[in-house]
Amino acid sequence: MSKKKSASAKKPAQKPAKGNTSASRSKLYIWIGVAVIVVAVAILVLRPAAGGVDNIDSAKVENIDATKLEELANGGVRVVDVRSAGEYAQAHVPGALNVPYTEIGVVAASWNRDEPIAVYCLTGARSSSAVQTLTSLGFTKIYHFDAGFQAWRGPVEEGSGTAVSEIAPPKVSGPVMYEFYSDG
Amino acid sequence: MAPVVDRLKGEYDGRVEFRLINVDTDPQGEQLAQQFGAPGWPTFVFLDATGARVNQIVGATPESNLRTALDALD
Repeated sequence: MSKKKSASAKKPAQKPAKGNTSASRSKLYIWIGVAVIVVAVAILVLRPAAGGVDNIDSAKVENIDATKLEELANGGVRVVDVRSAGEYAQAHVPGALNVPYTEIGVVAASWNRDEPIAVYCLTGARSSSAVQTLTSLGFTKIYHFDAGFQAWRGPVEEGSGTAVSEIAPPKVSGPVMYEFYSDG
Repeated sequence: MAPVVDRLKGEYDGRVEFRLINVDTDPQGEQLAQQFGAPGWPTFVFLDATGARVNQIVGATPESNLRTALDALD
């Protein structure tokens, strides 16, 4: 009897202990779960900043406002209007070169990738496409006037004097190679 | 680049038309160059048989690069 009593007496004494352990483990598991979630979220959030391709691209591309674009244009940075030749002829940022976004891949392929370049269109849609093209070409610094020409309040130029028209092909009767050269 | 271009012009005669434009003396030259987006000299612009620009090379370049671009026009 005494054994039984002692056995039955031990049980109630052990149960709370087991319950405490179980509760502790549950809490531990919860905390581990929370920690895992926090770490996972942190990895997802911080991964681009850790040097992924996305980060390289974002380092290359800087969205700018009209003031900055004007500053860049005045500073001699190549500014490219990627709208159509017709839109460009109506009005454009002074000094901007017109290369429709569908042609930017061919035209810019021969430009110095290490020189900064600024691009814009009317609303930021076509210039976004151009930015992707320039990024894939390896340009190291691309300024994107993402608000577009519709947000431009600075001076404008008219005419197509510096426009790269829609492949303004002079009359050709077959393949042509142009060489533009200077004696200087 | 003149000797190289002259040689290639002879080799590709009848297959590719060479239009050599001195931007210092041709009144339309620089404007045409700007229309092609040429940022400096020399700049080579390659048009296919439809007149579409298919390649562009800026600056002095090895003859092999010109040949590659010319061959791609055929």
